[in-house]
Amino acid sequence: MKLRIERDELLTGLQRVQGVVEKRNTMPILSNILLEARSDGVNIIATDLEIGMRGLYKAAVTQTGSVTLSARKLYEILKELREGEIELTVADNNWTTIQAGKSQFKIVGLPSQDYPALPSIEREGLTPLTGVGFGDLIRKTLFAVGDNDARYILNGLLVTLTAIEKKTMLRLVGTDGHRLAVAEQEVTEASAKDAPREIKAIIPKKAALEMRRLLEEEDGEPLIGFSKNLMIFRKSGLLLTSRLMEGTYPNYQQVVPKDKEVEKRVTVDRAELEGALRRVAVLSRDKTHAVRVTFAPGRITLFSSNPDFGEATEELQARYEGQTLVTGFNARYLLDVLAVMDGDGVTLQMEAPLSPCLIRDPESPGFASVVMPVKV
Amino acid sequence: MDRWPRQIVFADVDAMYATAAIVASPTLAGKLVAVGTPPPRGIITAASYPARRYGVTAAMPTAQAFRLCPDLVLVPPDRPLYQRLHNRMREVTDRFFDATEWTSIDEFYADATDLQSLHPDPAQLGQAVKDAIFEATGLRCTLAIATGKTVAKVAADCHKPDGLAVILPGTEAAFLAPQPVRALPGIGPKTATELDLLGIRRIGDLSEARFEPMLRRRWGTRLSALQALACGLDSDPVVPDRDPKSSGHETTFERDTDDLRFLERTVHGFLSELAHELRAQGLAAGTFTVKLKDAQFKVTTRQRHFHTPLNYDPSMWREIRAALRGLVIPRNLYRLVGLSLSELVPATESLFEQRTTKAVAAMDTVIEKHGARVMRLGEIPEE
Repeated sequence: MKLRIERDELLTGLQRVQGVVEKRNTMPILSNILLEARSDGVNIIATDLEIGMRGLYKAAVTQTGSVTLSARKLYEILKELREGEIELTVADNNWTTIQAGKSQFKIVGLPSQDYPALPSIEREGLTPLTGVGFGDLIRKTLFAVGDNDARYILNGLLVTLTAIEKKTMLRLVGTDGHRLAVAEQEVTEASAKDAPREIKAIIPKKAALEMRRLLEEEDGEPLIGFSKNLMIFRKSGLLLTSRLMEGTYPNYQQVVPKDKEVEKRVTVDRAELEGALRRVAVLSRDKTHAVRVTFAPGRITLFSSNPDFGEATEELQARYEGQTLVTGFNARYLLDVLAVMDGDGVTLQMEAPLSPCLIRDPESPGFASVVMPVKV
Repeated sequence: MDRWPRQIVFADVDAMYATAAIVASPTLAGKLVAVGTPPPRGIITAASYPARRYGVTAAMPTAQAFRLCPDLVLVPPDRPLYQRLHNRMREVTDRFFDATEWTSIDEFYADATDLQSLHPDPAQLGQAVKDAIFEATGLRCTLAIATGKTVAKVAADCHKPDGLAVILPGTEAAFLAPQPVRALPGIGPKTATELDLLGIRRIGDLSEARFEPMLRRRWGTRLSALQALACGLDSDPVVPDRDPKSSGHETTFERDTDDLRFLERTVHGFLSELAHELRAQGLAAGTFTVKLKDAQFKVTTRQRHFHTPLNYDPSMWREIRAALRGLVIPRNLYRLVGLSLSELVPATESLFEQRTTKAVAAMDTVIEKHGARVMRLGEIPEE
């Protein structure tokens, strides 16, 4: 295998797959990437067996072939190189020479046939998505997804595609059992004719993170599709596949409280609430960040105390006409929700001091978050 | 009456565990009650005042207690009951005082400095608190009021049981002087013996010039602080409760055992009590420690973190059981097993287990009211 490629082109490709490459050293070859030189360019492929990514990059290939190389070392080398063309030559023993101007690197490669193959996929049945919107849905729900939770399924993001008449709704749900976020949006175009009416899939957090990264790059319309145990995501020549997580997602609809009359909701300025929470949380107890929150007609009062440091309190103006209610929250949980909301205002609604709190943005009806209180 | 510069209240429940047993079963009233575990291995945890007259004291082997007092009525410890009574006492103290510092389940300090306009007579305030605690719990306590924590504590200790003492400002040194040095916090039995050899027996002796050189050699620069304390000069503030750090339970068996099932049942029993206490306090534990002591008195422990803080025993049991099984050496004999839960944090409610949470809360209410024996979680048969 022999090819010439622009340093920036190869670096872009390597940056995209860094997140996919396995960090833990379970199988040495998984810390490598696969380079496939074809007549029309070079494919950069990475997988951790759960997620796979493939992208085709412009290159002048003089001899086709393939090799796997350490993703990290290759990336570190490319980062240090100056702009311009570089030449990659792979010897029979998989040693690879990188020639860039006067710099030369020889790095050890592993045979490409040892690299796990990406799952084969069909091109049919993909639903087009508006790029900005989809990335936004991920951003608004991913924060609530569990992190190494013992309840395995909570470490995934629920994706549902529902086709009703000519509309297709895309909905994402994340929860770690203490908080939950739901965001939905109409997908611009109707899906292919024979698409099933509802698709439900749970994707690993890592796959959602990678999609979000790819969506942040500007051009190209993304497409998404699901097979029995696989999610397929395409965007401008890039392919991302992810195994779906197996298991039953908790019945999240049951725990989202129903909207109440406006008077029973607390409406408050989002930025003010965020600032006050940050300040008061400084003196909350470590770890739980517990802050006592009092809803009273016309105002919200935040209070925290820490036996070792002292206490803090702040009052905010709010629109509320219900009964006075004293509850407590992990300030972190509230701040996470407020951080992904876009509007100026935020509404909070809860039945009793220990019942779930529904948080909404009056300006974006497609988003809802539920946060469970703490006893303070 | 002149305003006190500081007014500190100290109260200590008289023989709390033993009295609690009588509160729970009034038929025990007037009997020689002691709380503890049965012989041959058992230890007395607390003795009622009548039993104390026979020489029965806490930490005494139960077998010895029965020899001293053959009519002794032994009652097993009932932690949920003590916790319940403690919570009721707290409600009383919270009603009276802004700042209360509970130093154990049955004694507290409170700052009454700002209450002097409301209660100009400290003796009346003290009696009102004592009465309110008795009314709420059926427990009698000894209460003392002074300008500092040390004097209040020493005064309460020498007015037990059911006492009330007020040490007026300016009389602290005179009150402390005739008390034995051992009464002063920080002076343990070893130091007291040491001082006794020097001829120092009363608190007043600590401030006498003739002992000064000897004391200086023993305490160095710390002597001035000790002497200030001996005169009743003590500005230690009342610090409202610190977070409970951990909660634990252990027991010594009557006979050493190598029966894993039995060890598991014992630890499981501790867990349901401890988890109930956590829920009652709105807390959850991030870490647990299993402890074993074998027949040779060798102690082994195993500590693990839960993936998230928990307070519902069925969710905690699997990991605790695994730790216990990992710790037990087959055919090794054990004399003691213990479980403690730590890293206690306020519990976050669960989204998907709201029905379970409600059901468990209902059970907890029943236990609070009628005791742990009337209701508990069912069990799923072992696989």
